[in-house]
Amino acid sequence: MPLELPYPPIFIRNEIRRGLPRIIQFIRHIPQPKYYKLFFHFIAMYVKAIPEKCCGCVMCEVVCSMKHWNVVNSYRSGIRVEKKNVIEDVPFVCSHGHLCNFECIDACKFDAMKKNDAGIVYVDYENCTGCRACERACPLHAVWIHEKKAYKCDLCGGDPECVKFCSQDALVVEV
Amino acid sequence: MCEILFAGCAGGGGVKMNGYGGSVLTVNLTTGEGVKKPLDEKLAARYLGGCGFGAYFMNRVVDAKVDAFSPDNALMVAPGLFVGTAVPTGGKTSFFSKSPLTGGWGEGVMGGRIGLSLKQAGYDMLILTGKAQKLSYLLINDNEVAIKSAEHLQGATTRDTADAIKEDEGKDVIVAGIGMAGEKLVRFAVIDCEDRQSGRGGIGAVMGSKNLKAIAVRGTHDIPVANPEKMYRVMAEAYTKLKESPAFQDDGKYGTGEFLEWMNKEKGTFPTRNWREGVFDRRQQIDPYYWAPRFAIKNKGCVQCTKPCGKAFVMEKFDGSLDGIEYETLFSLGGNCGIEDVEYVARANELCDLHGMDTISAGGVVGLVMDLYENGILGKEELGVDATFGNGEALLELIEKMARREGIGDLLAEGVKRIAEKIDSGAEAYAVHVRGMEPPAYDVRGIKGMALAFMTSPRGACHLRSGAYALELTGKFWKFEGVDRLSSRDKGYEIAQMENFMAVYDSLGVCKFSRGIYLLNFADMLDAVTGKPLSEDELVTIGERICTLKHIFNIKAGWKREDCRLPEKIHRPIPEGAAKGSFVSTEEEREMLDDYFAARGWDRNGIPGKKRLEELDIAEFME
Repeated sequence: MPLELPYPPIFIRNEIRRGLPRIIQFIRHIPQPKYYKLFFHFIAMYVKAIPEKCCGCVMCEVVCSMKHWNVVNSYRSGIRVEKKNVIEDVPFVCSHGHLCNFECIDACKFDAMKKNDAGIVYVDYENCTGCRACERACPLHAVWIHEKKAYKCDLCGGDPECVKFCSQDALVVEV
Repeated sequence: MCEILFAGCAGGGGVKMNGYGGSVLTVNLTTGEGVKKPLDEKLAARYLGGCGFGAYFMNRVVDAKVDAFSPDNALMVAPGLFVGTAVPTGGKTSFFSKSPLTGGWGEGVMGGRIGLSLKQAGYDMLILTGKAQKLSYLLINDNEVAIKSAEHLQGATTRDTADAIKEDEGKDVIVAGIGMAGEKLVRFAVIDCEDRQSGRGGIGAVMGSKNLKAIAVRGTHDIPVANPEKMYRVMAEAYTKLKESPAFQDDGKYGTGEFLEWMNKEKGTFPTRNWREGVFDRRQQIDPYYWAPRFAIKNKGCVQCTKPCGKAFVMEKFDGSLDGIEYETLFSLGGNCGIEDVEYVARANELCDLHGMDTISAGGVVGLVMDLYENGILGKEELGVDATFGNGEALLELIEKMARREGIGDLLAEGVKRIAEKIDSGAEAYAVHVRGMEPPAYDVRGIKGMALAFMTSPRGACHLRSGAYALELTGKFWKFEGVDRLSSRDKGYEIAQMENFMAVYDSLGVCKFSRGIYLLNFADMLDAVTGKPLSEDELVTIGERICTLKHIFNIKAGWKREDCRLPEKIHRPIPEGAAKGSFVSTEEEREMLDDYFAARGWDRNGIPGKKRLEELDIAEFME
């Protein structure tokens, strides 16, 4: 029987969620080996998009929906590429707390946006009602609602497929 | 907000078919009615998709004798079978119509996202007939079809059109539209979707003649596949294969123009200055090895492409950027007009993209004008510019005039064949075209198989309907070996087979630049997508069926064997370079055509016999 710690009340959880990433972002500026990961392991890696390299082939969208839903549908993908003009193709993808403060989790009233032990933010489809609160809250525009369900990156459980199929290396895994 | 001219729901239902959207949408632009019909499974099995569906529906819907600009002509859009199924490089969409330039079969393939969007909306074929009362755009929102006024977009460039429609309808609609050239019925106007163009032979002008500025599609449905696990495995294999191929490196760094130097120096078959020479002496700057590191900031790809060959080109002299420059454009706007400054080529390319014009044909026309100017047939007072070879400013001005049909541009917008006919006074000898279509960048005097391919291609001089240039220049490809490009023997079977091969690629929607890697080994992919694997032989039969149907459309439109002839310049030898002295004589022309018709099983006049048609199961199309 593993030791079970008491689950902290919501305001403390919120403090941890909001406060610690800020501390980590500060620590990351100090040129030290990345030992902090040993202590703050709930910040996951994330898929970093480099718009300067993106060729706009939307292979990432295709692969993502294929991997998760066994169909091709850009609207059910956790990454989306917006073609702004000839030279600007911008992929939008979740940073799992690296570039944000988990606004989607705070915004969700139905406890559908969750973070697992590895720090991956994912959608619990049993709870999701498609209320668009997370879509509006996300500062990176990396959550979308399609047919009353939220879609976002879940890192394929730690081994993102879109990164493997990006021929231009415009998507990289960043820790 | 723009005025809604018609809004309704496409009635009827689709079928659920693996790899397909499942329905065919016909929109009558005159009445605004949309009819949705389920896709016939037998049809799908016999024609695959894309260009196969085009060949079928063009013969069924369009009366081949109507004028290309009449409302009875139809404009069709068909995504290939592999569009939206995770096959790498399988994202091509075809556009069809009767061509105003050649008066026959018109077809164009693009890698824009419109096909994926259409398929997600549930359509494998979009047929537009009739003519809208005023300039409008078609909005397809899954099941809803609406025709909205686009009068505020009159004269807008292709990019502005897309931006404006996206602003009104939401960022996620995909827009394929025409520019100024399409509205003004320039006979080689094309359709543009996210800076990918389609429709050589003036399909953009057909769209303009229907008063249709753009097609905007939002498709949100799933595209199911038969075996997702296998699909994933096949995709990963194909991706690795593509990435490891040497073509990935070359295309990735320098684009499709990568072999420009080789074509000039080793083969001597880079048509230059309106096909006077086979080697461009001032090619240093238009060579991608020069400009790609200087001007290209990143690669650009078609949808689903894992070996992108486009380049995001940012100009310094001019304010602008474009997706290019492709090999054919380096020829048509560069070498063919004698332009050595790559920035002028880029700007001309951008103008063509903005106005929605085919760069090959536009370059062919400017090349002809420059040739006529230097030979004193056209004067400065008519043209308004000093159109000597190599004058970049003149190139830009002529293109601008052409797109707007201003002054001399009204004549130029008619295409090489009609210009030569109208000017007369010996201009015919300078006009380079086959059945009205301006030829692409392969000097067929030194690639004789391609000379035959130009003659037999259903849309006039075209390199992509057969794609035989790679085979001819390197000597081996697929099942052929030891092919001699300077001999005219045994070309019939070769070109016929290559045309079948390419028709399969167009119907599957696979990029032709991956043909060296995939060949016809699509059995696994088809098994994963539709659950019905097809062997190489079966695919070739389907390809032949499609090619024959396209030919039948041409015959119904008045095609004759006499139309299949090469321009006069091809009958004169190449003056210098590696292919020096080579030319195609009229006898060779005749022999090769005989050979081709025999290989196809058609009679001497190129009419398919009843027996052959029955073998291919398409006898009902020929009266």
